[in-house]
Amino acid sequence: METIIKLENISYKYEDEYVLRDISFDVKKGEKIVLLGINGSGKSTLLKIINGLIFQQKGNYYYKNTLITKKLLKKKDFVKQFRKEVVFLFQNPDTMIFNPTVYDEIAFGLRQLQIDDIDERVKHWAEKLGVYKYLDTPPFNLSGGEKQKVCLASLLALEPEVILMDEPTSNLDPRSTGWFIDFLYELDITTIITTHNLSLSLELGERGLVLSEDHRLIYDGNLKEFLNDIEKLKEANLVHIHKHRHGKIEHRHYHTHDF
Amino acid sequence: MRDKLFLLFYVFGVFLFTIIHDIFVIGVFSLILVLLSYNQAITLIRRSIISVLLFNGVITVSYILYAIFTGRQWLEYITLLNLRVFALTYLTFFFISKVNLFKALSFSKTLTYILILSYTQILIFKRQLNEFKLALQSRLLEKPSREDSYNFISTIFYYFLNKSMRNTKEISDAMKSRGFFVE
Ligand SMILES: Nc1ncnc2c1ncn2[C@@H]1O[C@H](COP(=O)(O)OP(=O)(O)OP(=O)(O)O)[C@@H](O)[C@H]1O
Ligand SMILES: [Mg+2]
Repeated sequence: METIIKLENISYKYEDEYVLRDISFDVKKGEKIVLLGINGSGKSTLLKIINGLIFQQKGNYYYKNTLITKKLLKKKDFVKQFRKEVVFLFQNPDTMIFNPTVYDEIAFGLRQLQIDDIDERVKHWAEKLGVYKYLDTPPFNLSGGEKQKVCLASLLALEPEVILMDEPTSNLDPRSTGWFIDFLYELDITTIITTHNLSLSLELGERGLVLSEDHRLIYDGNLKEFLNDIEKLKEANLVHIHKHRHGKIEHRHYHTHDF
Repeated sequence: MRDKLFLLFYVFGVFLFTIIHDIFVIGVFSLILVLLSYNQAITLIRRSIISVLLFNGVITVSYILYAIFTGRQWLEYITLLNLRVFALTYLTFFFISKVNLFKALSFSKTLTYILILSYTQILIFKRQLNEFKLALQSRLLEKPSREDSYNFISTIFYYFLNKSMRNTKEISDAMKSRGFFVE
């Protein structure tokens, strides 16, 4: 399979402190990748770089063998193609929603493509994401999970090649989470999903990338193996130790938490 | 000590400008404030106007439109609102120009905490605003239409208005639960 995304020694800082250090990995077309890391490890920042929204101070990022630069993302033709092919579901759906109705929200990207079957596509994706009945309502009043579905519909309507999802399950209740996992399974495009929910991560993809607290990539490989590697889990601070009581017996051992 | 006296004056001022609902009284107090700051008055007036212009402008215009559509009175409310915000801003600039804030609050852990809290709020708002911009940029395949820009800006505006109202309520509830302003 061909490589679609390639990161070479990426480092990024907002002010003085680096929040990503020397990150390198490749993504092949069609891969489903889970990006794990504790709060503040740099997951969202990394997705923003891959989406061409912010630019690393060090290292190179290639999309389909093209070096992505600030300058390139000012070129009209390229922007149009890139933004259609690589889409990003933000961590907080509120930041993405600004159209007066759900219909307009989903049609927003399509209208910029000057295609004929907008109406058909909007309805198709609304149906698929289960928000058809809201087409005429303003999206502001929907619940967090419904908003997320509207955002997903509006991104998928573009028929992108890569979708980046930042904590897509954080607003979903257990039933919707189950639905989302099935939905993802059938989705036939390259995906990178962030989460800090360990048990859920296995359902979201096979390959895991793990960021440590000091913002380095400490694991790239089979997710199941990572989850069985207590030393690596400790390094990523994704487990912690605490006391337990079972009746009168007290003991300590490592724990993973899924909240 | 000087810093602390100024602080007292400031807190009292904020309190007054917040509880008074009479345009005339607020007007008189504003005037006194301007006179008190005599040699800085022009700089402070300019600075206050510039910093409230956008925010108040948007609120004023949208409120007037809203009031016209729903057939409400707006003149008094809008005058009071603008005057109040101006007075509070003026007072704050005046105070900051005289005082080192962290020094003035150093006597109380709680107040230092509140200062840090408000400072953090500002940072969070700033970051959130940036997040909105990035999200739009991510979805823009070409330059936005005028209508899209309008929708975008009004959404952000509404979002922050809502959020700050909720935050204010939450913070004041939290303060009440810690025994501040007992009614
Ligand atoms: N706009 C910003 N300006 C300055 N610092 C920022 C900004 N956004 C994020 N940071 C900082 O960069 C670091 C990485 O943030 P990022 O949002 O990428 O982490 P994350 O892994 O997505 O965390 P979370 O799980 O909480 O979403 C954090 O320390 C954060 O405080
Ligand atoms: Mg994040």
